Amino acid sequence: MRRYPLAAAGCLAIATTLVVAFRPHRARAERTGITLASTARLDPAHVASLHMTRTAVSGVPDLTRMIGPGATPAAGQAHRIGPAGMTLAWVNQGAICEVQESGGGCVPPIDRPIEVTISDPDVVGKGQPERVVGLAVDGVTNVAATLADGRTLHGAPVDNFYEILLPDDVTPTAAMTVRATMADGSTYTEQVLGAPPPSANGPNSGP
Amino acid sequence: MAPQEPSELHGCSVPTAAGRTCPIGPVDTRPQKWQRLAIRRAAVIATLFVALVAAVPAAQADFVTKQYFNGTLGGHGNPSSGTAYWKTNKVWRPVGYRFAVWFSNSSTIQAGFQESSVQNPVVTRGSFGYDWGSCLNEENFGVSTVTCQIYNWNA
Repeated sequence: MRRYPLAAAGCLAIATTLVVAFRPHRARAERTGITLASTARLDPAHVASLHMTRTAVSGVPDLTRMIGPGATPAAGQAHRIGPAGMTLAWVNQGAICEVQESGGGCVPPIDRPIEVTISDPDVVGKGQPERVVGLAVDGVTNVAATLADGRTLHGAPVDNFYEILLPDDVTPTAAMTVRATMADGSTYTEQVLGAPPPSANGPNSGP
Repeated sequence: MAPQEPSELHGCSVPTAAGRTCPIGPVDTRPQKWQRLAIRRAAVIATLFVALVAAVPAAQADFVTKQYFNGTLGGHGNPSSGTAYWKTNKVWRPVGYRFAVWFSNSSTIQAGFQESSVQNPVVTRGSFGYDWGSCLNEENFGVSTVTCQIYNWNA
């Protein structure tokens, strides 16, 4: 008779251990306050696509030279990432350099899960729409841009890079909120105030 | 015996012995074949030298860059480069401040807008011909150590 309580206690202990071990990240995050969003760091160690053979590009793509001689990748060092492989990215002196057809830059390590770049590859207000693009660390499942009028557009990262095409009427003056959602449900939010309206500056205007 | 005229006046290359007549004939003043070859060679070398001297600065002039701002850029400061056939426009500043670069033309069309708070430099290649580049501090306060530079090639 004494065996049954012991067996029951043992089973209970095992079950408790399993529940604790396999409960969702979200529950643990809620308990500790530590979330993927709050601990995210955008650096080469947390961008898996920069270490994959699948995304590696041979040689030195011409596009990568736009950053400058000190930041051009070595042959085979660049990776093609993002939707439709729209971005070339590589590691340079601890930063992640990334270029698209129309522009780019290098992002040093930062304590946030995404970087937010606003880009219009052609004439502003015509042709291709303005877009929100950027690198995303491992674990970002979705990025959303909410405009001042409430319209929200989404983009899921592909190989650590996301792109959100904005409506045709959006120009660089538009303010928006960009929110990244992580695998544990936590979020990171960044406000983009929008550029001041274009001034009547001439070609040689000073600051 | 009349004094002998200097042999060179008769075209003799070697003085003739006394009493012997130096052969008189038309003097050929044209350059000899070897001289013509030497002159031609010198001309070719001179031409190549002049071409090289002229070509090097010309080649260098093909790559034009202009640093159109360097220093502390005030809030919403927006310097511009001057007009040319630019290709690439860049801004460097301390990371954490939202800056933008783009191109404009006399029709006030803007193109190639690129804006970021963490990229350094922020680069745009969105030129559309004969235009000027601008950089912009989107913050409402001044930011120091800002450099805006533009290039007429895909730098």
